[in-house]
Amino acid sequence: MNVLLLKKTDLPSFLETLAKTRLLIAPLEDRTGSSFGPVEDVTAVRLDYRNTSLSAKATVFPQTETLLTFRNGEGEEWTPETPETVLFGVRPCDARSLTMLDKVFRWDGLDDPYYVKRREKTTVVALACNEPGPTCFCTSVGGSPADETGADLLATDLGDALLLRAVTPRGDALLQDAGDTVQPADSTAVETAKGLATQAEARLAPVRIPDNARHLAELFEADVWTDLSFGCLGCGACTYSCPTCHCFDITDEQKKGAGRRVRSWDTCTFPLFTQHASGHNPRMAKHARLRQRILHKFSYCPENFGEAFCVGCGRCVVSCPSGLDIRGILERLDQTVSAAEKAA
Amino acid sequence: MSAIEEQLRRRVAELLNEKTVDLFIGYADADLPLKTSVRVARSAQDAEALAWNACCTSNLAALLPGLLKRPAELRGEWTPPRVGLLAKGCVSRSIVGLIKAHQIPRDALYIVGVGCNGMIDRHRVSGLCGTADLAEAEVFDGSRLRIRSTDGSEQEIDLAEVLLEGCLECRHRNAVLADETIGDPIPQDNDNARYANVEAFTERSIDERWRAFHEEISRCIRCYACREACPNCYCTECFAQETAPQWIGVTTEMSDLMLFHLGRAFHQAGRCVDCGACVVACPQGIDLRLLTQKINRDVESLFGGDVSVSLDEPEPLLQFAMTDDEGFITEP
Amino acid sequence: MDAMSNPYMPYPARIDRITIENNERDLKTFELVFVDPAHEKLFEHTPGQFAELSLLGTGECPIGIASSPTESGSLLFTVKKAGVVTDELHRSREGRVIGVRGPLGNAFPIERMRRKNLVIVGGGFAFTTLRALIRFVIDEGHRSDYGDVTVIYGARNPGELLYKAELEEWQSRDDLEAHITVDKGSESWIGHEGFVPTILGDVAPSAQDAIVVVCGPPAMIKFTLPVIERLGFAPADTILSLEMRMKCGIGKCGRCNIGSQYVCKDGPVFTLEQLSGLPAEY
Repeated sequence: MNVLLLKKTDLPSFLETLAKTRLLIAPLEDRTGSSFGPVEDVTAVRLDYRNTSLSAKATVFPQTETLLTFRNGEGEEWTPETPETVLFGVRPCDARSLTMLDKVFRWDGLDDPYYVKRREKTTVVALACNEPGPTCFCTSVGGSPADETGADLLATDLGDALLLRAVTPRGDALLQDAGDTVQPADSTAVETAKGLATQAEARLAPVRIPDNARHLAELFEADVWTDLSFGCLGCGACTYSCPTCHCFDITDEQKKGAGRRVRSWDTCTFPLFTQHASGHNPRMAKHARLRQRILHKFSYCPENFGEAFCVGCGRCVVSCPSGLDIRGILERLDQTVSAAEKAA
Repeated sequence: MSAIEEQLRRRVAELLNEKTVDLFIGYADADLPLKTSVRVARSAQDAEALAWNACCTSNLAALLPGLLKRPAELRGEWTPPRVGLLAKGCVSRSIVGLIKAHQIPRDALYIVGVGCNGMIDRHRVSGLCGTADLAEAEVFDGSRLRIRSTDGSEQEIDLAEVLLEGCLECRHRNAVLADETIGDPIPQDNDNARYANVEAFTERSIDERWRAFHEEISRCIRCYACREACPNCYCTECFAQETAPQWIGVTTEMSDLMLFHLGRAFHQAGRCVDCGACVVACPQGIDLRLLTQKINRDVESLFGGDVSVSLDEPEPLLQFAMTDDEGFITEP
Repeated sequence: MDAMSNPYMPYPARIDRITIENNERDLKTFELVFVDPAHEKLFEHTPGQFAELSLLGTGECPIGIASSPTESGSLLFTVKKAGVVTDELHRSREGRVIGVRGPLGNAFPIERMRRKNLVIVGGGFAFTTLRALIRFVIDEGHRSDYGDVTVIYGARNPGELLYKAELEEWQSRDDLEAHITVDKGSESWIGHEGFVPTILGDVAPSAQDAIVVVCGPPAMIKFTLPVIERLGFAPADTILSLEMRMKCGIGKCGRCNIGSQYVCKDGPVFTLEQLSGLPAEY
């Protein structure tokens, strides 16, 4: 696979070429700092951010998505044109999160056609982190600042140039569009990139994650959840900013016999999430909902998919209005698990 | 640790040891600069973590209905816990509002009032860092703020430039209801000009207003952080999530966003104390005061005074007086 | 992409017949016939499975399939009026075309049940998928695969019993022992009178080479399980069917889990042994 060098001065024209035949989604500055959005002006693309406020999952899993439309009792699948898309400049944590979403939306060979269609049309260009963000802990959950998982192409910012490493044939194909603005990377550039990655890794403070899914599930009845969830408001800020959260709702809308069935993001932190028509609600209590969120990510997903559904981006820490910190929660749980193991 | 924090920790430890309260709700410094987390203290040791500074933006009253209502699945006897909490002016007003709306019992509360000089708006400070993040922040000389962003750049600014707008217009810096207070009362300037943002906005054309509203609200992700952070949103079933009947859709399309935000703003009429918790809570940095301050201004001009200041006075929208303005009927 | 490969697209089915099952008229059985015969062939289900009934414009509800795959030509769903969607379904008339998504979920372990004696215990309107199981087992083509079949089914009063005509027919069969009970009888009621757990204790079927299947409201389950244990049934041989709030029905929307298990995908059928390894959050 190719490893090429693209001068920063040539980046706009590279992006311009990509945008001719693809929908280009990249980080743009906005009120929250930066967010992913469709690019109209390639010079507005920002690479000088730590991480965006929201993840990039909306590219393959939009917050609002029509599943079918209907008229007079007859339904029709909603199949809009899905363009070839380049998701440019995601951090390796976000790229990795896509592989986790793949596991859910393709579980047991049953594909979610809406997700899969977008996913198959998306080429992922990840941007390695030279500096971790204030809440990052990717290395504690199996990732790293220059992780290639989920990326088709991995870019590293060397200052005046981007090192572009093709990870998949798809990424390689994208490099064809760079034409003669790229040249083979020399060993210095490759070494510099490696050095940046090592430095970034060294700056990450480790977080102790209870890695035994079974023990974590055994903590179900422990008292610790009440105080851990004390300040939790039961809003969806953490879930909606998280790259791996994927729960959704399905609702129907209609007016005069015509309408649609639409799916939208939902969150286990809302009390109504599990409310039965009978009124019974197994997770009415706040501590039960926080427990579900944590156990789902760090116990049930490892059991079902072989890995914790957390990439260590720390967006939940930034967005929580009450200052709940998943790193502190995990460390406290790890302490509780260790104490229980000792006592046993 | 400041003198007032020391006083707070000592006093809370005493309250817990004497069993005047079963638990005490306050703030603790969080890992991120300029952020605090909600903290519950159940022992003198817990009290050591309590903090009081210009970053204590959460409205702690929002947690009270959940604590003081009988848990749904519980059978048999239940008495509410005795809850202590640290209340700055707006928090104490929210408590007054909740008591008058019969959402929490006064006698289950032990309010420790504290004077407040205003809270820092993290969104504003982050905005000064552009696409970089805030790495460090420090208040110095009492009214100055030094910040360093993750791209290395440093700035020194007046605190007043980054306080929550609501704090700049605050007329209730000290608790209006308290069982005791800590620290000295803050001199209150009761003539703070208000509603400048509303006046400026209403002077724009309807098209400009629509565009500005659209730009602001279209960022919304329906996370309901604003609603949950607000003590006044205590409804067990919010109109925005009701399914039988369904009042509004659950999508993030403009029609649904518009109905949610306009609806919620109107539901705040007669209740909003402009604590700014919603603005701080919003992960998308939406200026919700654009709507709530208009409502507050209208309530003030129609009914006079400030809401939720006194337990003895009826709330404007919880009563009817023959002198109430009926222009909406006679001149709609 | 056609509708058949999209698990979110319902198959259109016509309501051919509506039977009101109880006096309060809040329990109705809907007989559905696929509009496209090809869909009927695709919809091969096993007793215990459910389907999402889809009312475009209102929503979907997960309902257990009350008919056995041996009853070809149509599907039966017995629905209690409870929420927005079931309300709309109850207001529907014969001839209306609605949608069916499925079959979903796992099924009763009919392979494991072969050559075993079956004890089928049901209460109230949770009896629906048990009907599918019973019809399947006593079908001519299968009966010899299974041992003795004992059915204990109860409702609050005679009016609340489902499938009244069939219950009568079952009681006169000699390849099946059916005990029908009501909590409170009426003047004309000549069957058992007593709660389901009590009748189960009285009938006391042998646990030897037997599997017991229990479906009912939480209160009934709570009092029936100790009786089952006392009779000597192992947790691995005690089969239950659970309910949960659902939306997608295919294990993606994240809503219906108990621990790591999704009720729509890994259930709704669970053994007591499986459940005791899961958190008590249902």
